Amino acid sequence: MQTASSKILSNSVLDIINSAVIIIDAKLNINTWNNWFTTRSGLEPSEHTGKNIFDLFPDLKSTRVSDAIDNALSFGFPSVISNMFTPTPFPLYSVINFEEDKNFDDRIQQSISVARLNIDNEYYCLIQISDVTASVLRERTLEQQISERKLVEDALLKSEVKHRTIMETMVDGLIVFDNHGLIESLNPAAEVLFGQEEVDLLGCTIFPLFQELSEFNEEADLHDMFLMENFLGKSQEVLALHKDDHTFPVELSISEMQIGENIHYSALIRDITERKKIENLKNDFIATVSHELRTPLTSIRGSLSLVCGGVVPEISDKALELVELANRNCDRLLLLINDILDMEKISSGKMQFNLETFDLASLLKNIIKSNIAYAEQYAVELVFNDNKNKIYVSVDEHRFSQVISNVLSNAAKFSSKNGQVDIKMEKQDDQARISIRDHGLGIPAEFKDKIWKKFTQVDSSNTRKIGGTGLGLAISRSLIEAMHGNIDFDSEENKGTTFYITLPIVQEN
Amino acid sequence: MNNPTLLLSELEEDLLKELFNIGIGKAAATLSRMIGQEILLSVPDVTFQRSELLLTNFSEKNSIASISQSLKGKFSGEAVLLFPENSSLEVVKLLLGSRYSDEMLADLKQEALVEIGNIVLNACVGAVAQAMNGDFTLDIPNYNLASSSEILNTYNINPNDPILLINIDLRLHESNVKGYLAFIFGPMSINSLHETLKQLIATLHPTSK
Repeated sequence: MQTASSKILSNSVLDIINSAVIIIDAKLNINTWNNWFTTRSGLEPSEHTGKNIFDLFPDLKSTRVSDAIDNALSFGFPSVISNMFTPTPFPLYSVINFEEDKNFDDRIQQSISVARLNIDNEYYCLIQISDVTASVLRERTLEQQISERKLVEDALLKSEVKHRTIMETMVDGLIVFDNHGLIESLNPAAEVLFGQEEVDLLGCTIFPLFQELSEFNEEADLHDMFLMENFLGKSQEVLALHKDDHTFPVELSISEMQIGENIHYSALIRDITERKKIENLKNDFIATVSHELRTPLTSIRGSLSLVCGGVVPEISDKALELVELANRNCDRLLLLINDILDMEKISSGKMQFNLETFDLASLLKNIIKSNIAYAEQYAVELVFNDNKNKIYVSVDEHRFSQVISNVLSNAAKFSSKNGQVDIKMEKQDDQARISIRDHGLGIPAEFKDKIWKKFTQVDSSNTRKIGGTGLGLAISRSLIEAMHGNIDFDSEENKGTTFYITLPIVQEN
Repeated sequence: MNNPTLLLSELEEDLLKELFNIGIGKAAATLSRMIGQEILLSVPDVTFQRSELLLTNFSEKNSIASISQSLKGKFSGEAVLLFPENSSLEVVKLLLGSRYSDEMLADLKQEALVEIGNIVLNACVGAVAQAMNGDFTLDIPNYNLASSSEILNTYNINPNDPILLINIDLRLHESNVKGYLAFIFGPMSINSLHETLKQLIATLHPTSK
C-alpha cells in the first residue's frame, strides 16, 4: 500500500491540487513540491531538491512553521497554522503580480497545515499551503465597513447626547410637536412650566397649553394658522395654562423644521411673569405720577388763562408776554400728561371703548371742521374729497376723532405754508379706507420703522419748532387697533406723506 | 476487567503536573512568539475524576467551546481543551489584540481557537509522550460548540467514565482566563496509564515501588 501511495503521490496528482504541497524528509531536506508552489514562488523544485528547507527559506527558522514541522516529524502530531496569527510565512506571490516588483505586502495570504507522512517506513513531512487572500480581503473590507459604521454611530451618539443635554439644561421650555400638533418631546423646563410630566403630555396636542391656540385643532393646517397668527419665527406674548388652571404670561415662538418627509414644529416658551410684574409696576408708577401732576397743573393753567384773558387789569406788556409763554408751555405739558395717561390706559387694558355705528363721511366732516382752526395756524387747507358713498363703521366717536385729529394735525404741522391736506375715503372689499395726504417734507426712509415708537419725532431739533409729544402716533395706532382697524403710511421724501386708516365696514342698523 | 482506580498517588500527581507544565510552557512560548507578547500558561491542578464532575466547572447557561484531537498509541482517547464560550472569545480577543472588531472576532473565533487548541494539545501530549518514550499520534484538531448538557454526548462519554482533568490558567496583561484540558480514556487505557506512570516513577525514584 505504502509503495503504491508513494507512486500515486507522484507529480501528476500533486500538480492538479489547488494549493501548495511541499514534502520534506526527516532531515528537513526538500523532497518535492508541486506546480502550484513553483508558479507562486518562482522556484523550480528540480533546482532545490535535497536542499534544507531552512537554508532555502531562512525566515522560517524558529517560527510556527518550524515548530509544526518539528511536531510532525518528532511526534507525528499535525498542526494547523491559521492566517490570523501567521499570515504570510512563505514568500509566495500571486501569479499575476509575479513579474512586478515584489514587496512583503503583496504576498499571498496563507493558511497552512503540517502533518507527518509515512512512506515506505520513512517519515516525511507534508506541508500544505492554501491561498486565502480573497477571504482575507473580504474580511478586511468587512472590518473597514464595521469600523466606519461604528465611527458614524459614535458621532451620531455624541451629537445626540450633546443636543439632548442642551435641551435638558435649557432654562426655557421647549416642546416639539408634529404637524397635527401632537407633542413628540419636551424638555424638563417645559414640564416645570406647565406642572405636567412628560409622560402625560406625549401624544396630546399642544393647543390646550396656550389660551391663544386653544381654538386650534388637529385638522387645522398648522403652517397657515401659525403664519396668520404671526407665530412662525417670531416671539409673541401669549397666556399659558398651568395644570392647576392658572394662566401665566409667556413669550412663545414657533419654528418649523422639515425632518425627512415630515414637518415638525418646535415651540420655545419663556416665562415672562416676572417681567410683566415689573412692567406693571412701572406703568402704575407713571400713571400715579401723571395724575398727581395733572391736578396742580390744571389749576396753574386756569390761573394763567385768566391772567392772559385780562382779568388782572394792571399788567405790563412785558409781564403779559411772559405769562403767555408760561401758558403755552403749560398747555404742552398738559397734553403730554394726557397722552401718557392714555398710553398707560391702553397698555393696561383699562381704556373703555364705546363702539357705535356711524356714517363715516359725516363723522369725518365733523372732525375736519374742528381741526380747520388748527390748520389755519400753519396756513394749511384741509380738503375733504367726499364721494358721497355711504359707509358705516363701528367706532368710539371720541377716540376715533382723537386718531383722525392727530393725523390731521401732523399733516398740517408738516405741510409747507399755504399747503393743502387731502382727505379721501373709499371702500376696499369689506374695509373702509381713509387716506390723509400732505405735501410736506415726507418721512426719511431710515425713520419709517421708528415712527410708531413712543416719544419719537423725525428730528428731535424739530420738536421745539413744531411741538408735540411724540406719543401721538403710538397712541393712534393702539386706539385704532382696539377698534379693529389699522393704520399705516406711505411716504416720499420732499413729496409728502399719506396715512391710511382702515376700519371694517358694518351694516347700518 | 479491573475497576480502574480514580485515585492518583501523590507522586503520580506530581509527575503528571510536572509533565503538563513542561508541555504547557512550550505552548505558552509558541503563543507568545506568535503574538509578540508574553503570555503565561500554568497548570495548577491535575486530577482524575468522574467525567460528569467536569461540568461543575461550567455554568449551565453558558455553552462550552472545545477543541479536540484524537490520541492513539500506548493509550488511546480524546484530548480536549475546553473553555466556557464567553472565555473562549476573550482568549481570542486577548491573543489577536485590537486588530479586529468584536463582530469580526465572533466570525474568526473558531479558526483561531482551533490553532490555539492545536498548539496546547500538541505541546502537552508531546511532553507526556517524550517522557514515556511512547509512540503516540494525534489526529487533526476539531472544534465543537455545545451546551454543558450536551458536551459529554459530543465526546461519547459516559458520566461515570474517568477523565484526567488539567486546569489551565492563561494570563496576559491584566487578564486571567481559566480553561480545562481533559483526557478521556477508556478503562483499558487508564490501567495502562497507571502502569506507565508507576514504571516511570520507578526509573526516576529507584527506591519507591
